[in-house]
Amino acid sequence: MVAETQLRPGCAWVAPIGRCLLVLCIMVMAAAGCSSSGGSTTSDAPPETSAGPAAVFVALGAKETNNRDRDDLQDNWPQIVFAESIPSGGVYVNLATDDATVQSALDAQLPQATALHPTMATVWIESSDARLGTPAAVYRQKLTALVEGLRAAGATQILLLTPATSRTDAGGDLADSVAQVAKATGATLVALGDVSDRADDAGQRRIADLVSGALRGS
Amino acid sequence: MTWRDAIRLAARTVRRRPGRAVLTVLAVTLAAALLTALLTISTTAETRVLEQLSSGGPLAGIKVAAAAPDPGQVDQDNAAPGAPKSLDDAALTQISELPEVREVVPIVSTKVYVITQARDRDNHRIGPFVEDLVGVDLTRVSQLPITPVAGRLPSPGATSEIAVTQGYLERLGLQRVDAPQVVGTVLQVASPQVVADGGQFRVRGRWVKATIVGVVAQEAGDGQFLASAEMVGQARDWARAGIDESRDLQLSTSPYTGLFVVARGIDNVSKVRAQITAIGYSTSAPENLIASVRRYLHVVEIVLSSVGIIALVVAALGISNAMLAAVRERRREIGVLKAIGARDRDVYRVFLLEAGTLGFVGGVLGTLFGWAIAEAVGRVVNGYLAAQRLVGVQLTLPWTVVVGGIVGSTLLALLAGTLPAVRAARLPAREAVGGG
Repeated sequence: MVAETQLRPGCAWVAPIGRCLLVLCIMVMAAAGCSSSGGSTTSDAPPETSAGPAAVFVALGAKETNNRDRDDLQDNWPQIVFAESIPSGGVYVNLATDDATVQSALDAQLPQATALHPTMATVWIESSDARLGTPAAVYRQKLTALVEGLRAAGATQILLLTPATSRTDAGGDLADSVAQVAKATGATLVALGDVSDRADDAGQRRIADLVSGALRGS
Repeated sequence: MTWRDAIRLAARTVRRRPGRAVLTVLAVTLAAALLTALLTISTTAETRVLEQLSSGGPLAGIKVAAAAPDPGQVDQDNAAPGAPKSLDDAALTQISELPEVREVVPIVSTKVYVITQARDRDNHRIGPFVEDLVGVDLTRVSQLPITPVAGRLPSPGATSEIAVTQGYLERLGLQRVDAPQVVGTVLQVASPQVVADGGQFRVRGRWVKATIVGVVAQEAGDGQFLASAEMVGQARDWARAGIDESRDLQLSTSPYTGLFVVARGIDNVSKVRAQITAIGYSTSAPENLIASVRRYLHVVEIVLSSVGIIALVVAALGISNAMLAAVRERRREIGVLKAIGARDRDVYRVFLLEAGTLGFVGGVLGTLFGWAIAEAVGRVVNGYLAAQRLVGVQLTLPWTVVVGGIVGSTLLALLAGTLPAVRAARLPAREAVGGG
């Protein structure tokens, strides 16, 4: 009896330790379980991008594509198309020069585009040819060569942009020529309509929306 | 009484009172486990920090600029560079071959135009701006002073992933706590190239849509954007393909913008800096910071040792208390033993054997349990480090801790059991049997 009554005070401190051990065991097991789920910072991190080939968008053309007469770079139609219609990881280069003709594009812009291995391209190149009076037949021939060159370089989506009318001095209708080339080559025709508002942000947005819509449909 | 009799008697006592024995073993186990876990974790942590400081790492790194040294700045931690000087593979090899150099990580950077869709605090659109894009080999990021704050680091070799610094957050009017807000957003980043257009020069950009995958604190290079060396390499190649290698844009033509050199040991940092200066490049290193860290590390060592000693004392008190309780509990039994002829030293031996056995068993279990705790903590730590794309820690259980844990617990139990054993041995038979 004496032994039993003395046992309790002697071991009174041991029981809480047993409980502590149990709690510690649970904590250790919980920690081991948590560790397999990785760090908390990964939960808010975007997943790794796929290793697939990135979209490469090249814009060929003249002053209407170059847009050097405008200040707001991010409101230019090619930049809007790149921002809104090209997936993350995509590359975009504007190869347009102000006074480009279909011939100079074939000579200068196509080789640069080919070096970039484009997957999609826009071509809007009429104003200088219209001003210089490039014959429609010649224009069609050069534009066809340009489209075929882009396709050979790997572009699977080629958009030919054209305003409502664009007559040469020789009387040919370049808009019709663009439509014919698009039909003959399988490129996508984007009829821009009246582009007199091109200098405005609203005009650039309208053109961008037309191009983006054609991209989705092509 | 022979040793065998004493062992038998001690074992029988343990068997007869399993509850008390188990609880006493648990007490020793707890103390030994705490000690083992503490020593394992602190040894690993100390090794990790010492590795950073002594064997090399971001803290012991030396930044080498693509510039000649300024004679008046050589001894400064943040030395201002002198005239620009090409930092090429030959220089990299020369520095790598210095005997006290452990590793050399090249840094590249280039100026880029950036368009962000984000808006500032007043909801105004942020116009395109020019900033530096810093590129590093992201497989060697553990060697560099780069720490993720939110999200993650770009994947090695990725050409469409980017990390931003706090400077970018400030540009958007955000605080550091707002860092997760920008993770997952997309930037348009352009490398400039000077081209001829109608008899004039113009700048043409190669735009890349890059996703912000994380926010980092980094000192690898000057710039608000961090990406893979491959992504920066593509941007630099584009810029150099322009007229006059785009020197009009004041882009550096040096193959590397800088190097991050890791010396073999903190004591070699000054020596390596002097050697690199002699080769002809400007360097900077946080030598004063490292000296301060070493002092603080010594304080941490003292604190950890103190915690270990406290754990030991608590364990010893626990065992001693348990054995004293056993003596009080077994007074009648001791009296009977003495009445039938047991000598003081026999009783002393029985109690010491019992204490030693409990200490040994507790030591073995405690060491195993302590290792399990350390392993679990190590897994959590490694999970965090892996998420940060940092090198994990390898937990090491030194054999001295294993042997020390078991032998130490046994010796401690013997020591703690000595007083109760002496008390039991000196207990007069009549008094013990009488229960007085």
